[in-house]
Amino acid sequence: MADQKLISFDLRADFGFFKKPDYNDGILLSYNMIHKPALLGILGAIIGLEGYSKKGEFPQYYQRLKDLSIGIEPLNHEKGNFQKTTVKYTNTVGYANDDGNLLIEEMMLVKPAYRCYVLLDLAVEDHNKLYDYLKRGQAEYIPYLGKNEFQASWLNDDGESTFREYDFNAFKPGQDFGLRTVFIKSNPIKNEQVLVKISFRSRTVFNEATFSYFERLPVHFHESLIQYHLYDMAYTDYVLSSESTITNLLQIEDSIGSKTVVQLF
Amino acid sequence: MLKELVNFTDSLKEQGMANIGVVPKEGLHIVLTLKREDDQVYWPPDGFVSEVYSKKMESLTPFLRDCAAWAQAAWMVNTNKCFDLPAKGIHSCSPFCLAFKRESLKGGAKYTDAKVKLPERVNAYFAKAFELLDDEAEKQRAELFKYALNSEEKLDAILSQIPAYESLKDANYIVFYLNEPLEVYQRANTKYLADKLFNTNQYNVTVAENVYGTSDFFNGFPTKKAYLSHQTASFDIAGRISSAEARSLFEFQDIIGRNILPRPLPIFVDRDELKQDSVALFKKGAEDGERLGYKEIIETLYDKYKNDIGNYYLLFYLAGEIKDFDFVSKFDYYLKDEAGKPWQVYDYFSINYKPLVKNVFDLQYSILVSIFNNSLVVKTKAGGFQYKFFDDIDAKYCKSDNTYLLVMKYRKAFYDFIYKSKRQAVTRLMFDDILQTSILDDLRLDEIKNGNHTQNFSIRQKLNTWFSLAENFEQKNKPSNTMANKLRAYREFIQKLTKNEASIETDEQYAFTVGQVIYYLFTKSKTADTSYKRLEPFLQQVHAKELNKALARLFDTYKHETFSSNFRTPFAEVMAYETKTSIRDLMPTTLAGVFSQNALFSDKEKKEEVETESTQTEE
Repeated sequence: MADQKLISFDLRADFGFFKKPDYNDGILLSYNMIHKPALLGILGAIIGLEGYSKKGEFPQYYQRLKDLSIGIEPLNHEKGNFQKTTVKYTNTVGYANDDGNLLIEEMMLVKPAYRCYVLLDLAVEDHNKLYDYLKRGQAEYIPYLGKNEFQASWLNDDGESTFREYDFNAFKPGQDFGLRTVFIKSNPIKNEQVLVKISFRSRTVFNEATFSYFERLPVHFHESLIQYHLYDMAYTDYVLSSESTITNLLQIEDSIGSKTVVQLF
Repeated sequence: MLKELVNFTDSLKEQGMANIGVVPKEGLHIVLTLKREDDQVYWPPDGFVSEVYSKKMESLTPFLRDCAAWAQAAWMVNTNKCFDLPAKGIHSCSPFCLAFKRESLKGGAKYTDAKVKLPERVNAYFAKAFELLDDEAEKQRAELFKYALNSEEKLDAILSQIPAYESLKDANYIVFYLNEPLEVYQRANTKYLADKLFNTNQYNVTVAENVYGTSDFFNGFPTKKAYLSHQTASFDIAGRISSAEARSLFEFQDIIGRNILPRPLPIFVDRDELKQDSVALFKKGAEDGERLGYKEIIETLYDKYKNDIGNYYLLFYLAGEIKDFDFVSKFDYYLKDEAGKPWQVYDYFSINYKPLVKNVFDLQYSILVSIFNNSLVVKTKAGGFQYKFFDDIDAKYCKSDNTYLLVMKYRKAFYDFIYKSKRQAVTRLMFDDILQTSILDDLRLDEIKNGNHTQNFSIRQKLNTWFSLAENFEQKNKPSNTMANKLRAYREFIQKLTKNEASIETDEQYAFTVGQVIYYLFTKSKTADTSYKRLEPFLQQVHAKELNKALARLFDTYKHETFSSNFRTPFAEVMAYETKTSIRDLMPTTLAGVFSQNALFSDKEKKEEVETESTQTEE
């Protein structure tokens, strides 16, 4: 625990494309939220780990970082969503096509931004390197959001690093709480939410419903099928009940003393 | 996405929608009935009944309804998985059904080209189809069915007895069914599908007694496209699905192909009651023969659940293609301004056009029709609407090339705004671009017909919309000084200016006065072509200096005319004003000056202007 550091950095790019491998005919869709295997790939790129290279073998970054606990919080979103646009690509070069021109239509995210929480154990060499690189704003390979033309940065508009460190404790919901990150949902979210409360004294509404966001996202690879293992995930600004069944929660406190709850998975 | 579609298909099946809207293929349907005598089963040569189905028919007869259900359980998955390879002419895949198009028989387009004619392939087809049967009695009956159809003479013998055969077109189907219970068809079909639902069986794996294979749902193996296949990945197949999921996706594709579901299609994920209610609405619509639109469904649900509509995936499926699939966390139905009031278009330019835009559908039906010149949301002559959010649009059916470009550029943004409640999808910058381009286009296209400007109503309608709604699309830092406020201020200013009680101090006051001066000078023209096209040379200017020169030239042309005293000061002030701001940035204000009531006329001129002013009606 003494060597553990909970850090976050804000990853942003002009565009992003996290391809859904469900189908390949017609428009190619993107996940709205960065998912864990993609984030592990970015972290691997930052410290110079190799990517895919051999059939039947997981890439080096996945083998070395798959047990890392991460959390994702979307930034500058609209009810959890990012704007999307579609682009048609044409590739007419001969070596790309044995049977006519390549025409692809892809949906891409516009200005996606995520705060990525990572729990590092500095006794592990890779984690130590990651801590050092993220803090200094350094990367071995250029990180990108899904495609290498969508170069990503964790610097803010002023060119400063968005790297932050937090004090943290395991969070056991003893009271209602708000959750800053996307979380794995095991029960229908309506069972986890605190209903709207109205104060007759101050005539104000607490916990006014605004949105819940759902997406099935990859969390790791299915070892025998060698494909994404998808989990039902949610993101909401509702206050969640103290009786919630959401697990792996941490209460974190930043340098100015503000406290929030995140889920790491 | 696949999991959501699988869940949705299961909901449809639970509500008994698996067979709603099923119709037979267009063409001739012939049912053969076997006879049983003394434990002998045989087919009497006249033992058949037939009927023709055409899409023009309003309802199905019980006979055709049976045929549709049989065909449903007897059809191929696709031509690559039929039993008639490589010819692909027989489209049924059942030992109790034989279906092909008229073109494959003698006299048809494909008959002459075929190396082996269709009647000669029937035996091979049935040989494969019989593999689907386990029951000996069923096999015997199927054998009889085969013997009734396996030569050209036998097919001719039946078809020659049916007068309707002669009038079939090449594209029409001829489908033979054996009169067997539907369950018998379905049993064989289940066996056929077990092998055919995956894209290929080459990559099937079994995990925990479940077979996982490659999805056939919009999925292929692009071996000839190097960039589409992952060259270094750990896996051969990006995502396998279970056989149960493959079956559901096959059924989903079948159901959505029947055109009984709305477009776009909301697929609710979390609220069971919303899911059930929406599926019940689809079902009712399909049973009534009227496909309910997205608007009607959302409005009906909205009445019941008020502010609780959300958490659904929105699927836009068109002509066999998925065009869009996205999540909507909350549906914002109403459009309200900062003060919480509905959006209102005000009649600033005197055409009595002032619609109230209470919700997103009002925006779609009243505003989008006009600003995109009836090219994105199309109001048909019959009074209905068509939407071109994802369709291929032919530029020649748009009012102008610019309209076509605007539609193509912004239609996805408006789709997101209306159907997905993404308020940030449409920005002020976009709205300004649409209105400015569209108005300039109208000016260019304006003509005088029967003494009227053809585009007058359209221009003023767009100006009303622009000045009334622009601020509602401002994402951040909404200005307190709106276009409407400014318009009022300019109109007051010009009154003072004509009386020499004010002078031009800002670029916008200058631009408004320029608009008034141009319009006033144009009224001095005696030319036959008084269309707004003449504004173009002025609106194309970038520098104030050049614009003033152009105004001076215009004045020079009409200097022999009499000018009112109200004209003198504004014209002098305009001529004396200097600014480095681009005139194009001041375009909205200049246009407002042109189309606002002109303050430069003398009382006498004003009277004449009113008398000659054209009274416009909507085209």
